[in-house]
Amino acid sequence: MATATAHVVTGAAELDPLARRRVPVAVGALAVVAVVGLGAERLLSPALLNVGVTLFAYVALAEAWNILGGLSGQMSLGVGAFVGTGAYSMALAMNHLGWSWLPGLLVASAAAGVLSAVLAVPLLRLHGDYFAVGTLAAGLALEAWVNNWGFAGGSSGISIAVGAVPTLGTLYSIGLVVAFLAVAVTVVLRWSIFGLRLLALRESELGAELLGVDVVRYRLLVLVLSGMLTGLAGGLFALTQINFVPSDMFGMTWTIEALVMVIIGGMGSVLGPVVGALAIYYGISTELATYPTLSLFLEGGLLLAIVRFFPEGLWPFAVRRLRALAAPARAARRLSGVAARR
Amino acid sequence: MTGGDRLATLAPATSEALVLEHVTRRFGGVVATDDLSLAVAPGEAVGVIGPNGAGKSTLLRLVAGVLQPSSGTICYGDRSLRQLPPHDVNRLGVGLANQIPCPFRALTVEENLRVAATASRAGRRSSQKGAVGEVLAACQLDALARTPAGQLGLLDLKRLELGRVLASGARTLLLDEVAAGLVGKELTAAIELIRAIHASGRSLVIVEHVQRVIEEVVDRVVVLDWGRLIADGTPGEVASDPHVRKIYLGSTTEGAPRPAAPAPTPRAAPLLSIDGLTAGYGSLVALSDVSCAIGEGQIVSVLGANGAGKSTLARAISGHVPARAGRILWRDRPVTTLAAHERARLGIAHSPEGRRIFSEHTVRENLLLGSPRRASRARRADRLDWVLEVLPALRRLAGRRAGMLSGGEQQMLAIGRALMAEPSLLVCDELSLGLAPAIVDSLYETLLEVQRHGIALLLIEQNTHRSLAISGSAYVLHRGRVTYAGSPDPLLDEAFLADRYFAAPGAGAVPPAEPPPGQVVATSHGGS
Repeated sequence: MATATAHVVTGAAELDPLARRRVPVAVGALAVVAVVGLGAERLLSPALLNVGVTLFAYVALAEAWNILGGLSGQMSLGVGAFVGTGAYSMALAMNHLGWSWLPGLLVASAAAGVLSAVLAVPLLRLHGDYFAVGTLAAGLALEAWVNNWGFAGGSSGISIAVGAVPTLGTLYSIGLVVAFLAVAVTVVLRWSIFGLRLLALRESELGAELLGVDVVRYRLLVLVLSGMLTGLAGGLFALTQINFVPSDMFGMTWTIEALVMVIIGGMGSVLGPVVGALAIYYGISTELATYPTLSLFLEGGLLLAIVRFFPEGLWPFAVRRLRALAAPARAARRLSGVAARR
Repeated sequence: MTGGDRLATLAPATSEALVLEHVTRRFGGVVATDDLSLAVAPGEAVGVIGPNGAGKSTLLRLVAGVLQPSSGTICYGDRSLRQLPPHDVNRLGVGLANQIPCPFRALTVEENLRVAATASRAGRRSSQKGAVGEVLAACQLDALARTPAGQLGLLDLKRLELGRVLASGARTLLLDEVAAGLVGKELTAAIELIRAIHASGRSLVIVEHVQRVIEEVVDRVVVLDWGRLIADGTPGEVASDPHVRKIYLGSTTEGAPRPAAPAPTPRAAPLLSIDGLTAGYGSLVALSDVSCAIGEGQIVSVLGANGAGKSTLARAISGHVPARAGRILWRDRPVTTLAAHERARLGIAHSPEGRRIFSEHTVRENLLLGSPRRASRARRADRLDWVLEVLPALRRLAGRRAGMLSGGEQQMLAIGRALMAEPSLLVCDELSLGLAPAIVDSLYETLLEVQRHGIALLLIEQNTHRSLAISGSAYVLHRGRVTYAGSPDPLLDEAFLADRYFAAPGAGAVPPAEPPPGQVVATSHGGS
């Protein structure tokens, strides 16, 4: 895992020349947003702070799925395995070792990363749909095992000692930093040579390999990185829920949420998952919390509409439309060019 | 020759000797390469020819590290390639370009090259800085640098395939049928690029069925058959070797004894007639106001450059692409709005480009899958017998898994499967693509046999001479419009054919040079 982190750092160092300026600007802008968000903490009501924490955790979850599924094309159906590992390792470290939330979150991320590296041994032999089914099996197996693991409370679950849980305001700040980290990692990945290689192997593993890309290594790195971010999100969810049973944390819900958010927002784009998390968690689940049936119906309907009419996702679609509006002259010229060629 | 100056900008490179010794590769019980020894000197260009299934692609894949030899050694310079994965082989300077280009379609041309340039030389950043720009210029892709690779035409895809291998730093290039599917000027442009790559000092191993590439690029040809090296010499020596002529070149070098053009049975109403057909995909118009006709039992060729609309015409006939305007009549009955399966029931069969056989199933299963769903068991068995009689080559292969067949056998199977549907018209898309000349000979004999059973054939072909030789009439498409309709004979003149292939857009409605023979009901309303 040390190599994973080190490599991501070198990946940032050898940025795609086209994007060399774009990345610091984007990360800087993100940092400004984060600082403003931190400053806003005192102005927000407890209810909004609560919504904020969960939203940030979902942003991290969606981005983590996005760098694995969207950038490298490895569709994971076992998100729960990493959320659960993060949540449980954090709760166990806090309860049994008496650690505070900060080392607890680091343990959550590290444990999920180790799990990714171990699961990689069988998973990286699989490709495409088989990889997806492999991750699904890993998630189900882990859930079954934790259900029967007496030390961690078995099927009756586990509680974090209430005294060790940070205040809502602190939780909000932690969430903001975690979400910032997830988006920043995606920015750096998306616009680096590292990310370009991921996009290449998503299209054709053999093609990338024939051009000198060590496909297994890149698949492993992105799997571990995504696992670590998912574990971090899992730790955050644990801090907000305090009491939970294995099916809460290892269940299929996480996979479905992450997938829906990324698909609706825009798979493979940087801000798509953020938009997806906002739309699904805030726009539908929170605002319509009193009408759970309606919100489910809307969520399904939205997913169908996106897949049918804007398969690229909301964010890339919006960016494209805005660009077209900003440069009508260019668009018109391009259109007439196409017409002439015909 | 416009590209000549710019092609010269490719930086020289020194390759090393590639030596294969006693390389054997088995797939189960099948020996793909059998005790093969071959040395490619630095800077040499070697052509590898042979029938389909001779082990040519296997040879390249063994060198590139995609496959590992069962025994024997492969060395590049003083390094053994044994057990090296493809990315390590590439980093040593040996690159493979594929028959079917597999670009990263969502990435731009430049990004595609960048992946190649940065993957293999991670440690030497200074050397790669200019590499992408240089390759863009050398491959004449600089105007397309920011275009997504998924939007490229065939020639540019081939250029990109070569460019990626160049950008990866390859000094020895393995080219697996990179010219397949190109014709005319496009083929010339591709050959020019390959020659420029060779002239820069890089060595080449070229597997190719397009004879022009072999004739115009390589100094030395080796011939494989059943995984063994059976001849090695200059192109001239090899071409005059009687054994090679028998197994590979077939009739082409002997001035092609042209099969007697079959006498079509003239009928009042054609089997299929198309009137003013327009079709396309999304905003793209692929066929525009196309009219043509096919008589009962007649063979008709449809020719044209890549992107001319040939495959779209085939799909429009079989019902896989809806008509936007115009009429399609089948035995005087309008079928324009019928779904593909309904047309199949009426007797229109389509053997698509790329064969599309079910490779996990046996030959017999593939054939049975082609029979109509409602056919009784007995009728199905009868039809299977009939097909195996028309295509006797399939009989001994019946129990074999289709994926294990050679390219020619797979094409035979694709024809057989289409025939199972008891068609009156068989539409064959790019039958001979990527097949050895001798195999194409036997396929064409098969087609004549099919026709003798009263089945009409619509042939979409790059291999113009073969298909014109057996056709009763021919059409040439250019950018979705008919630029020639009539007797196949005038098209045997290369200059006239090229003129029809690349007719100026305004000249879409040029009348045929010769009046069409009586049985051809064909006009073009295109143009003006």
